[in-house]
Amino acid sequence: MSAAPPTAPVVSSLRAERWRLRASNARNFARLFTRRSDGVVGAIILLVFTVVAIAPQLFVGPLQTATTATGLHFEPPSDAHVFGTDELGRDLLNLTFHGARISMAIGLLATFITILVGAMIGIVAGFVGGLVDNALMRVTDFFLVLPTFVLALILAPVVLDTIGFDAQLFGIRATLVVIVVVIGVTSWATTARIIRSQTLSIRERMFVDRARAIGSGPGHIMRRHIFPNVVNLIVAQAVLTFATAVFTETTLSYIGLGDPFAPSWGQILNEAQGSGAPGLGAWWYIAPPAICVVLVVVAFTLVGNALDDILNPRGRGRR
Amino acid sequence: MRDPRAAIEMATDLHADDIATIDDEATTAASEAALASIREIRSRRKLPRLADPAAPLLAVEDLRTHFKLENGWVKAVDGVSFRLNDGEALGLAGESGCGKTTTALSLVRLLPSNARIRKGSSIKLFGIDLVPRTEEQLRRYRWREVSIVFQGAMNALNPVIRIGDQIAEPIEIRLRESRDRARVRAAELLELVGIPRKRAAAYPHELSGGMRQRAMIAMALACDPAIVIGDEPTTALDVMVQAQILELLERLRRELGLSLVLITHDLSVIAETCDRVLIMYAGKVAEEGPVRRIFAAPRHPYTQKLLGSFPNIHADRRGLETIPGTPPDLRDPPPGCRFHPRCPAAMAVCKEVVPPETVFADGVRVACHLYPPGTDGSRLITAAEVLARGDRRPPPAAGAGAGATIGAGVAPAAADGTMAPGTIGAAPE
Repeated sequence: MSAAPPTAPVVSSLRAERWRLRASNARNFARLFTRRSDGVVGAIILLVFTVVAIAPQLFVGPLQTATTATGLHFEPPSDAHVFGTDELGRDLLNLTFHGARISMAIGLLATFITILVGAMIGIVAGFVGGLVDNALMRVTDFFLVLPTFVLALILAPVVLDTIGFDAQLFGIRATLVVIVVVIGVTSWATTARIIRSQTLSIRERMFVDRARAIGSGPGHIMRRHIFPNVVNLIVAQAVLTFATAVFTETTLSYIGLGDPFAPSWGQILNEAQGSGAPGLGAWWYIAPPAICVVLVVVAFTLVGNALDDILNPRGRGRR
Repeated sequence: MRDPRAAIEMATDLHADDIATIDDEATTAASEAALASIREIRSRRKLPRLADPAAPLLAVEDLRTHFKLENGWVKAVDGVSFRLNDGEALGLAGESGCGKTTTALSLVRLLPSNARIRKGSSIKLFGIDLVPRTEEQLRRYRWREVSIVFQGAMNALNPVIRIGDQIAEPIEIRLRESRDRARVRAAELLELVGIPRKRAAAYPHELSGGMRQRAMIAMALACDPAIVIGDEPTTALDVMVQAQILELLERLRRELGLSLVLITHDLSVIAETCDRVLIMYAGKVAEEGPVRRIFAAPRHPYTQKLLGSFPNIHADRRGLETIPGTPPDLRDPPPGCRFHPRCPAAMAVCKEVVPPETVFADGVRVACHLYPPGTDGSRLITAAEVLARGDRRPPPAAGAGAGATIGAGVAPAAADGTMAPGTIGAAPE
C-alpha cells in the first residue's frame, strides 16, 4: 500500500506529542499536589512505611523469633532496644518493622480484590441494567449486610481446612489468605454500589450513544468508555478501602485470626494482650503497632482527600 | 503582543488554533494527503455482499417508527418515504418533535429501547432492506455506511479519551487497522477538517467548540461512510464558526462525494447546503422537493408558515409570522391532515381525510388537500415515483404496474407490499 512508508515518522511524531502532553500534565499535577500540605505529609508518611515494608531487614535485620531473640523479656525501651522487648525477649522495633510488611501486603491484596470485584460488578450491573442489574444488586445487598467478624470466624477454619494450615498461596501463608479473602468478600459490595450509580449516569451520556453508533458492542463500551470515566472513583475508593483493610486486618488478628508466625501489627497487639502486657504496664509493647496503624490510616486518608480535590474536575472551582 | 492571532483571540472569543485554521494555507496542502488517504480507503471499499448495484443509495418507504409509552404509542414517524442519491444532500426540516431525528436515527436503528419500527416499513440501503436485520447484522452498516455528526460535540465526545484516539476508535474496531495506523489516519482526518495534527493528543475540553465539532466531522468520516447524517451539527455554535462548519461539510461533500442528510430547524442552513429539502410535520412528510423550488414557491401551508417565520435578509423589513398553536400530541394525532388544527386554509375535508401525496411538474411533492390531483398540473404520486426521485439523476418514470398511492387516507391498504423489491428505482420506461 502506498500509504505505508510515511507511517513510521508520523507515528513517532504523534507519540512524541503525547509524551510532551503527558509530561506537562504530570508537572501540572505535581504543582497542584505540592501545594496541598496535608497531601504532602500523608505522602511522606506513606513513603517511609512503604520503604520499611519493602525491605525491613535492611533496617533491623531478619525477623526475630523466640530462639533468635536478642533481649530479656519485657525490657522497657533503652539504647539497645529502642522500642523495648516482648515476653520472649524479641526486639519490638524489629517486630514492628516486619509487621509493616505483612500488614501492608494484606491491605494491598484485599484492596485489589475488593476493587476488582466491586468495579466489575458495578460496571456490568449499571451498564447492562434490567434483570442482570437486579440479580447482581440482590447479591450485592447480601454481601453488604454480612458482618465481617462472624464471616471471618466461619470462613477461617473452613479455608484452613481445605487448603491446609501450612499451605501457601502466591507465597502468602494460608491464615493470611483467609484474612485477605474475608476483607475482600465483605467490602466489595460498597464499591460495587458506588461504581454502579456512577455507571448509571455515564451510560446516559451521548458519547455512549456515539460508541453504539460506531458499532461497538457492550464489552467494548464498558472497557473503553465507561471504565475510564469511573477511574477517579475507583482510585478514591481504593485509597479508602486500603485504610479500612489495614484496620480490619488489625482487628481480625487481634481477636486471634492472625498467623502467629507472621507478626502483623494486629498480631503483635494480640500477643501483647495474650501475654498480659497491659496488666504488667508494658506500654511499649502496645504503643508502636497501634501508632503505626493509626499513622498509615491517617496518611492514606490525607492523600486520598488531596487526590480527590485535585483529580475531581468539579472541585477545581472551589480553590 | 507579538502574535496578531492573540489579539484576535482576545477580541473575538475564537480559539487561537481555530484562527490558525481559517487563514493557514498549510492545512490545505496537508489535507490533500488526508484526501488521498480517504480515497485509498474508498478504493478498497467493498459494498455489502447483498448490495444491488442498480438500486439507489437509500430508499426509505413508508417508515413508521413508534415509541411505546405507558399510556400508548407515540407515532413519532408515521409513513415517511424518501430517497437519497449518491452525492446528494437532503435537508430534513420542521419544528421540534416532528420526527426529523427519529427518521434519521431509524436508518441504522440507533433508537431508544422503547422504539419499534413497524412492519411494512422498509429502509433500503444499496437495495438491502435494513428493517428485518438483527442488531448484530446491523452493526456492519453502522458507521461504515451511515455515520452521524451529533449535535453538541462536547457531550458526544468522551471527556477522558484523547481526541485522536476517539477518531481512531472506529478505524480500529471497524476497519481492523492496527492502533498505530488508526492513529495516523485519525491525525490525517483532523488535518482534513482543519485541525493541526498534533492536537490529536489533546482532550476534548482542551479544544474550542468549533474544533470539537470539526473533530466530530472527522470522526464521522473515519470509515468513509456512504451517508453522513448531520443532526443539527451547527446548532450550538456561533455564526462565524457555523459558517466554517457548513463550508467544511460542503467541501467534503464535493471532494469525497458524500451523501448528506442534514437535520436542522434552521432553514438558512438547508438553503445553503442542500439539494433537496423534506419538510416534516407531526411525523409525516408535508412537502418535499428541490431546495430552490420550495424556497421560492412553497405550496403546503405549513411550509409557507415555516418560511414566513424566518427572517429574510433580502426582503423588506417586516414582522415575522408565527404559527399559532403547538404540534399535536403524537399519541393521539388529529384525524385527517395532522396540520388542520393550525392551518389557515383548513377545509372540512382536512378534518376527515388524510391528504394524499401529489407531485407537480417541477418535481415538488406535497401532501395537502389544497392540491387535489389534476389542479395546477399536479397528479397523484406513486410509491415507486417517490423512491425514484432525486436531483442528480433524472427521475425514471414510474412503471405502469406500480400504482399504489402513498397517503393512507385514499388507499390505506395499498401502500404495503404491492411492489416487488426489484422495481424500486429501476423501473423501466
